[in-house]
Amino acid sequence: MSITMDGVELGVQISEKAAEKIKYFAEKEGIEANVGLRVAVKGGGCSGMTYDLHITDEELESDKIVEQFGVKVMVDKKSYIYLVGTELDFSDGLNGKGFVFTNPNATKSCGCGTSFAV
Amino acid sequence: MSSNISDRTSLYAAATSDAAIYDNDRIGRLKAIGEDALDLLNRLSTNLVLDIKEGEGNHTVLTTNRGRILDIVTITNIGDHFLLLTSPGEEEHIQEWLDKYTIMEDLEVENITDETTMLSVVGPNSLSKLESLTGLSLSKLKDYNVVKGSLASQEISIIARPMGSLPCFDILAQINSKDSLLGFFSDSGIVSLDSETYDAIKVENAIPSYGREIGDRYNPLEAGLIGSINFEKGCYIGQEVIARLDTYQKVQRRLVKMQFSDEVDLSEECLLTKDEQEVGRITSFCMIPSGGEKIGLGYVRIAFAEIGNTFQISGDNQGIAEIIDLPQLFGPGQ
Repeated sequence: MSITMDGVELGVQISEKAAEKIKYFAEKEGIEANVGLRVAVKGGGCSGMTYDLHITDEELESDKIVEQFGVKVMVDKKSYIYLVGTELDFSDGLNGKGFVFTNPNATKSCGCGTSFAV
Repeated sequence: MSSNISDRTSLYAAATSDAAIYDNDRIGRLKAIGEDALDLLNRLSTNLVLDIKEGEGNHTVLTTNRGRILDIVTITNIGDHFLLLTSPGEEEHIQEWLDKYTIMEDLEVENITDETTMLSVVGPNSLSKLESLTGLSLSKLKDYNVVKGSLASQEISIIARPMGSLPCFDILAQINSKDSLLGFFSDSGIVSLDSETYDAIKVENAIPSYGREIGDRYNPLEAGLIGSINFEKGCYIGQEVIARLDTYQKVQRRLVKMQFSDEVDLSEECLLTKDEQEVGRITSFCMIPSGGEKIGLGYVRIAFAEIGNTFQISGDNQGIAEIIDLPQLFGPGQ
């Protein structure tokens, strides 16, 4: 199942800064080709659902994959319905929050930003 | 089952000075299977339940994202699965809640309430009587832990789950073992409690009941469940709210145990007032069968929640309520 808007399939979008950070962490893990970020949703966190990120180069057949800035963003089909339309950015600096999600499906997010309710 | 006052006096005496059995089949029972069972339960509830080894168990509180109580749940590692004990009638609700948050996790939850039975042996002599009947050594069985055995040729599991200061052991078996087990206990001289007497013992030991003292009207700090909250485990649903309430001391009311000058009729709302100001409400009432003491539980605004404080009971119940305890079911905190 794909969710589209104006004929364009929606997925998880990442910013250029987030892509650079993903490549940085991937390199640290020894992944240089086919750099991918698996974005998933797990039950839990302050608000009910929590984001789960993994650097990987392994794709699953059922994954929704969007490639941006040289990074493949992989989302499993169960997480996809909670993440469709989400934008992932990276906030750095002393007061930075790290990876920051802007999820249009979230009705509430917790203070640390890693948990949300739908 | 209903019984008269003299029956209840002897039943109460058996349960509080010897041992008695109660048919606790209404307690919800869920079977959780999967590698991620504890990981998910840990992310959804207040206590640290990540590492419950075979034979061990623990209590925890499932909370909503507003920090309100969904239910108190006992989790026990039976070996091939985890057994979850819920409040009576709440098993489907808890199963739905767990299903809702099972996304990628390896977890299957099955409602086994109807296919199993649960009998609770309560009283100061419950341990010695059960040891004698089962041949098991129970003196080292820690609270919420489980041991397997047999009784009346039926396979059973025994969970130590005290009712406050009163020892209590839950005996779990397949439903087709129930008649044999009840017959065996009866033949062994262990009397069966009726629901009124069991409820009186619960109230006397300040065990909160679902729908009265626990439920989504209350948070775990109000309900005296701080002993089931781990403040260092990290995020779980409702954690942010509960941590804030604790840190900034924003708890507004507290579960209290009271004694009353007169009988209380809970068919109407019983408010507690002080100088004509509403300060709380009564949630449970019972008369102790032996001495006729009138006791109960309720919630009182935190500023008034001190032992010895007295209140007027509103409405047709014109008696006086006095706080006699500030119960904490699982102790004063970790």
